[in-house]
Amino acid sequence: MKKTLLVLLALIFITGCADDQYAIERRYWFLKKQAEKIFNNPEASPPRELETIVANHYSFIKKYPNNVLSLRANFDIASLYAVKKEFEKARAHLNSMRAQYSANLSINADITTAIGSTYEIEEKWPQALEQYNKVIKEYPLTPTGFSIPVYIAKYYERTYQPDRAIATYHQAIGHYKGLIDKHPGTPVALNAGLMIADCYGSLADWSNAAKTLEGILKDYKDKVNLDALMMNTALLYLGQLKDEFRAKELLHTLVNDYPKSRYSGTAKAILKKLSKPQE
Amino acid sequence: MNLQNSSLATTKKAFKESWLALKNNRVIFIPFLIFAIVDLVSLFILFLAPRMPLRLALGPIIRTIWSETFLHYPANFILLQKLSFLSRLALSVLIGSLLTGIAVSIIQSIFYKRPVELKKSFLSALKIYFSLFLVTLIVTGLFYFTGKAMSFVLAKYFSRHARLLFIGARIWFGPVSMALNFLIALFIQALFIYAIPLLIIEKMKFKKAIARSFVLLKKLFIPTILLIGLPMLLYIPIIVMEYNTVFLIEKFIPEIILVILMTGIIINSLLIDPLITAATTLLYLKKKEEGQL
Repeated sequence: MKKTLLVLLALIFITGCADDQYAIERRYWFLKKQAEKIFNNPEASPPRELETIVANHYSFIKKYPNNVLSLRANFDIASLYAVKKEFEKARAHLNSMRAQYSANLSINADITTAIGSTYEIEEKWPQALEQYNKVIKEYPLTPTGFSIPVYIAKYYERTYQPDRAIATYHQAIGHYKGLIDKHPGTPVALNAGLMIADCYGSLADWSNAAKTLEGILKDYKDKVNLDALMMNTALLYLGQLKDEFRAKELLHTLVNDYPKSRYSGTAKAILKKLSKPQE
Repeated sequence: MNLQNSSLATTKKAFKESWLALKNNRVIFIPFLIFAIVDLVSLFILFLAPRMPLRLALGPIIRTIWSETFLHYPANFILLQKLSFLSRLALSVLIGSLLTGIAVSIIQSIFYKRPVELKKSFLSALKIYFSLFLVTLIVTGLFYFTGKAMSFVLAKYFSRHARLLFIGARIWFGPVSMALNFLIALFIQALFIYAIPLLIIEKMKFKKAIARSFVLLKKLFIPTILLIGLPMLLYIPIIVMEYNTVFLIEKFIPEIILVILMTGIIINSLLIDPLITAATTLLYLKKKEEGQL
């Protein structure tokens, strides 16, 4: 019994002290907690505190250079500088990251976007836009690069520049159509189609939004799971275009083609409600 | 009023006697200490589940049933609470049942001023292990499934309504659920509390012991409810903290959850369970000797 307990305790000790991914995550969590002191109150935190926390981040990155959390720690350093309004230092750090992550397009897109964000926070929109356009041109198929065109349009919406917002949405639509032409029948084209529908929705151009979604439903039938898209399209017809007939058609198709879908119950409930005679 | 006074007097006396029995006969704690150790070891193993090498064995199970998120720091502490609860339920049925039987046998020896023989107590409990296992399984199962049923009914109700009895969902799923779970646990335990003493002391058959336990609860309702309910109140701070895991992780450090769970095990196994077992067993023996049952 004593021997078993000792072996068990030894096992627990060895397991608990190992420098595995969990231990790294734990160290990173404590780094984040330190950084939160500055994020929560950037004006009140003394400069020395920033230096200490950045130094701790660098130590972490040096110790675990190939870990995914080191990448986050790198971006955290840039964020810390940015929140303390030391934008040049933030951009210098972000640029220094390119050497380490040169092979990874997605990370490079994120770095360029982050540089753009520092300009945006600094209220230097032309410089920010330059960076965002660079992302669209050089990294169009990365997750960040894919969503940046809409991000730019939403910036103009937020800053009450409706004409620019509308123009940017149309530019974005053109960009996504270009992606569809270049990569037809692929997940890129599917996602680009969804972004186009999103842009038309933002422009309140519901008929074009519906047309785009119908195109996706036709092109990708039996290729991917379309239950969510079918539900959204039906709700678009019901809510915006007031076309109950087409909405019902889509909901019936959803229920028949995807009987086990989590949207099936909702679809049946809506169909039941629509079938009740109007008073 | 007289009946109430006499019930309260009985309860007070039972508590006093069980406290003295525990104080003067530390041997009663042995089965509970064994359970506490096993429970703590189980908690540590679950705590170390995201770490190598345990991750190789437990990782796929956690990933499949819950998700990959709970194999990372600090989300693993949110799941740890649930895993610890499930583990305790399983250990209670498999080992706790036997250990409670041993404890009752020890208390019986102490009551009749006989020398305590641990081996004899162990063998007498082992002989009827299956019955002890069944009783604990029923109690645990009832507690688990009534809790699940209550959560399900509330979730279903609040998917269509904003309030129930003028109280919103947040309060129902928070303090009200806590209170209801406490009361459910109290009543379920009270229904079956005398079954194990009857199996060990009277050597009754399983079905007869269950039925007789219900009768005894009816006869000794107030004392039994108080003898179980009052010690259980000691666990309420732990329950409150367990309901606020996310807040505690953010406010302090995630490891505080482990400390709370360990404290819960110690309070439960070394304070509440011995007190309840001793108090109800001694009450039963006393009433039996007085010819009141």
